[in-house]
Amino acid sequence: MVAVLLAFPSAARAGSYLQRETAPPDSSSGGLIVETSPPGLLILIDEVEAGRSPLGPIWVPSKTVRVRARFDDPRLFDAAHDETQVVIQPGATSHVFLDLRPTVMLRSAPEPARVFRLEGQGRDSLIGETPIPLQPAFLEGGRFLFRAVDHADTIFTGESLLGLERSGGRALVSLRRTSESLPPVIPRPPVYRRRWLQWGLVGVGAVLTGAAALLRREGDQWYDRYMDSSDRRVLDTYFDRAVHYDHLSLAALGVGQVLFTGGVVLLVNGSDR
Amino acid sequence: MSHALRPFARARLCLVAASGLCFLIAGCSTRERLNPLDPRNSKTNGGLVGFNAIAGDQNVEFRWPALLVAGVQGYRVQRWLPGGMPRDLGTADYGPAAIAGEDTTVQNNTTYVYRLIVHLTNGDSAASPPDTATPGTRQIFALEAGNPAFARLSPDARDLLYARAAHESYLDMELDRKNKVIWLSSETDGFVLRKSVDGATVGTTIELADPTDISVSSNRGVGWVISPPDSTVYSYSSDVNNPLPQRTLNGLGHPRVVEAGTNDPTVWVGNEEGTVHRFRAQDLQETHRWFLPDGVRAIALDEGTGGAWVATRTGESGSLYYLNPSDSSSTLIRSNLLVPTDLGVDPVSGDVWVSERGTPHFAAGRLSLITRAGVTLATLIGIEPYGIDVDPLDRSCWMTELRTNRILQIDRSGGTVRASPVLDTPYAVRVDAP
Repeated sequence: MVAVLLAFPSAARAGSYLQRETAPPDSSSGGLIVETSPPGLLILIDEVEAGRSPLGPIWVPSKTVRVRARFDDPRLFDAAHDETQVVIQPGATSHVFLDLRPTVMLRSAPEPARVFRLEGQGRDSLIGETPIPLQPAFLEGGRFLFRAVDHADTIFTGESLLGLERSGGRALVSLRRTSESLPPVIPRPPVYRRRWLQWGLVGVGAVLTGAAALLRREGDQWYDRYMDSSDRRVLDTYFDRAVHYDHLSLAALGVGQVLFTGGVVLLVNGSDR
Repeated sequence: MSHALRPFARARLCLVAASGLCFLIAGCSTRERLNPLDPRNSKTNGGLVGFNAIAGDQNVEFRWPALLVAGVQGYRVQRWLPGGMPRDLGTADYGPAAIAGEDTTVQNNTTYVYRLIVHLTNGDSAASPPDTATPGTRQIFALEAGNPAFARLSPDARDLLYARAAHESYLDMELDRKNKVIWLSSETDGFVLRKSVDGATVGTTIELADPTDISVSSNRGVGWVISPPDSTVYSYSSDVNNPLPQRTLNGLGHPRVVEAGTNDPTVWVGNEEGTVHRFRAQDLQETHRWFLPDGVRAIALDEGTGGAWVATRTGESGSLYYLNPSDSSSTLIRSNLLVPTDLGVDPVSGDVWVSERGTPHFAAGRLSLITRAGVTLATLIGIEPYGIDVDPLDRSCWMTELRTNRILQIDRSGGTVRASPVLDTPYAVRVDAP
């Protein structure tokens, strides 16, 4: 809801229940003309009923007054948008216009569709996506482009959109389908995101780490045999076996630690399941 | 934002993990080929190590570390003369638990070569590198300053027999060749110790104010000790249980060096002022007095003539004099000595060995053999000698050498005959040959 305060230079007479005088009662008074959309609303000036819009000119003392339009149905009362304050200048006439028309809810088929306001020279401003509520005053005089995937761009004038409005305050625009996009393929989560794989990594890593200890022990045993032996013919064999098991142990330990750590990290970072 | 950083965080994590793995693998030490019998063991090359033949008097002692492998059947020592063929020593092996042995079938002053053979149950064997030993009667004592100690070497100086640690470095050491007692002065601790040839302290400790130089008359075993604070030279009897001074020499200025004759019954005292006093031993009657221009640093008696060699020093330059009591003359034999530290007289010829240390740590010292006539018979340079002693057997010179931290035996031609193992800053040596 947007309240618009407009001062119209028009000298048109507004209908009123009050008596109108052609001249101000004194030099300290100012004139006030109040118009509303829709017309016929009860106008209160400083909470004193002044008549129904259009109203005025009426003469009031020069001061700041609060002008409020009220529906007959008090449930439609909206203090934020149905009233305004006006400074009455002595000897001058102030015009007040209160637009109390309900907002128009722009809908589209399909939704969502992006809505642009065409401002000429290729400069379009994006307003938003449907459904979107807009003030009638915003729609008036403008041209609006509706754009949706697989549908032709469609341009409406603000007046035609207001014309589409039904009693529910909703304007539905149907867009013409021009093509049909295949639904996007949802990628499968990477394999490292699988929980079973993460736990598998942890398990295999733990097993390999344990195996490394066993292999190391085996290497120690062969090294002990090497150190204890006085038979030169077997020294090389014993020593080479010890070194071989050391290498296996190191490899198992390294791979095991990588798998274990990687699995834990993936587990901590979560999975897609 | 966090989603954008996640790949980088993951990459960092992987990098850290990979680095940790590399450190883990690199930090694990590889096995070393430490089996002593392994031919690829870089320290042993498959042979026995640690076998040591230590010369004694009429015997050679063997020591070796236990070979900690299975299948050792026994050890056998082989002996041969240089140039000869190795022959088994004895008729049976030492047992597998043996770590020492002895060869009593040797002759003194003969050099033998030994090696150790280990017999293994698989029929194989291994040998140690050869080690030589020259048994003899020579007793070599030394003082070490690095870790203060009184040490003894084997007769061939190739092995250290023992090193008795001391609280502080002994200032001087003298031999009582008659009673086989070594006198040691400990200046700061204020006592004089007497030790047997096996390194044990014997008798009662002599307590004295800052004892410095010692001289022992080996004829009677009387010891003379200088106490600079008392400006006195005290004499002590050969009774090691008697710590009381017998006689004293006073009024000597600042005594620095005392030297007592063995065959020549005199006592010589040199002081910082450059005065040398000669006393008759029996009644301490001063018979001679010489006035030298510089402070006295060393005295060596030429007992063949009753004279004495005296080294003086001022700054780092010194002079060598020969004092002759027969005509009370003092003859300047050599000047510009390079920091003279010790003298030793050849008892047969009366020639003097002169130790000149030179500038410390520059190997700029010199060892010279000079005759009474002032002729230099031998000179050894490029060394840093300190204490010296003349070998009573072959008249060679034993010298502590601070550049190599060894004790060297130098023959009269200036050649090196023997060298000790590396010691801990040896600075005094005494040699006896019973």
